[in-house]
Amino acid sequence: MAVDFRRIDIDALDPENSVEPEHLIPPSIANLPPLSVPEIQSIGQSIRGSLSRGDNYGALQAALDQPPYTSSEEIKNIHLATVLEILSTIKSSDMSRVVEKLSSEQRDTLIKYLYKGMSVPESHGISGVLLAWFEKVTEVAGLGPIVRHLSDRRTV
Amino acid sequence: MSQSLRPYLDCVRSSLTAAICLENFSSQVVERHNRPEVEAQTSPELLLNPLTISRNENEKVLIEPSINSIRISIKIKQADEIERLLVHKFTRFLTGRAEAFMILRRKPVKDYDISFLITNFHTEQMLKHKLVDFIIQFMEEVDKEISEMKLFLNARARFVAEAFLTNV
Repeated sequence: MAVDFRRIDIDALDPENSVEPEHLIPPSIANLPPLSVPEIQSIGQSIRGSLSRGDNYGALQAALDQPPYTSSEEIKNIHLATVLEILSTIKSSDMSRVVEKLSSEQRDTLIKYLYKGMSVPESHGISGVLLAWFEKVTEVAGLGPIVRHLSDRRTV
Repeated sequence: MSQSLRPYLDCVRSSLTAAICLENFSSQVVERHNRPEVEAQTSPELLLNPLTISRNENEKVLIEPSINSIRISIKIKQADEIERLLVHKFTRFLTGRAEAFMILRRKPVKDYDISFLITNFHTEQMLKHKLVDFIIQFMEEVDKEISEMKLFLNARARFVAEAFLTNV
């Protein structure tokens, strides 16, 4: 035997002993069906429709109420692009008014999208806008949304 | 402080304050070991969602929290070759003396220039808000330092070139 058996990590071979990332998905969302590309695009279309009608607040609310938690990374990125478009459309003078009207759930989701937005290279042009949004959310809601984002396994 | 720098540092400050919430946690794999889980990465249940804060493509902060440790990586602004060289020398100088800085990591995370590793033992010894203040102050100072060094280097190069060429 070429392999020294004392060096084999037998704990890694025990299926009861390992925690996979899939085990950490909370049961509340585990049964949600993943969205397909046409579905998420039609959601994006309807949100863009209300955005072009001038209903910025409604569009933001609609986008934050149905984040594709269980879908693939590609679909999440399509929705992220929609959210970023809404965020960059809303004027900076309206930001605090909009944030105050959002529910605490929606603020948590907004923080998730702000962090996600800052981590992708496409948004470097609008990171100033994202930082302004971030400032407004922490002004209204404090550190709570950040802490909830840290430990939330429902990633966007 | 410039207008665009303030929201960036405020965002880093609130993210750090929320993320530095550490407790003593022994290794789940080896008995009587206690290692920073963010480095050991033994189990995904001990790691929290990483946070990225970016001001533009050249200035970013990555915060990776876990149950007993947090890793903060900073990408320092580098506009040209000289700044890249200066940042490299500067971070090398600091990481070479990491022992004296307590929370400095000896090697930066990939794609970043300098990393800090804060464990629960650090937060037990030191005040949390002072640690946050230190990171923020470091980020403020390092930009100033680099641009000062660049000016100094340029002036010196001009002087040397003049002195060298007048003798010809």
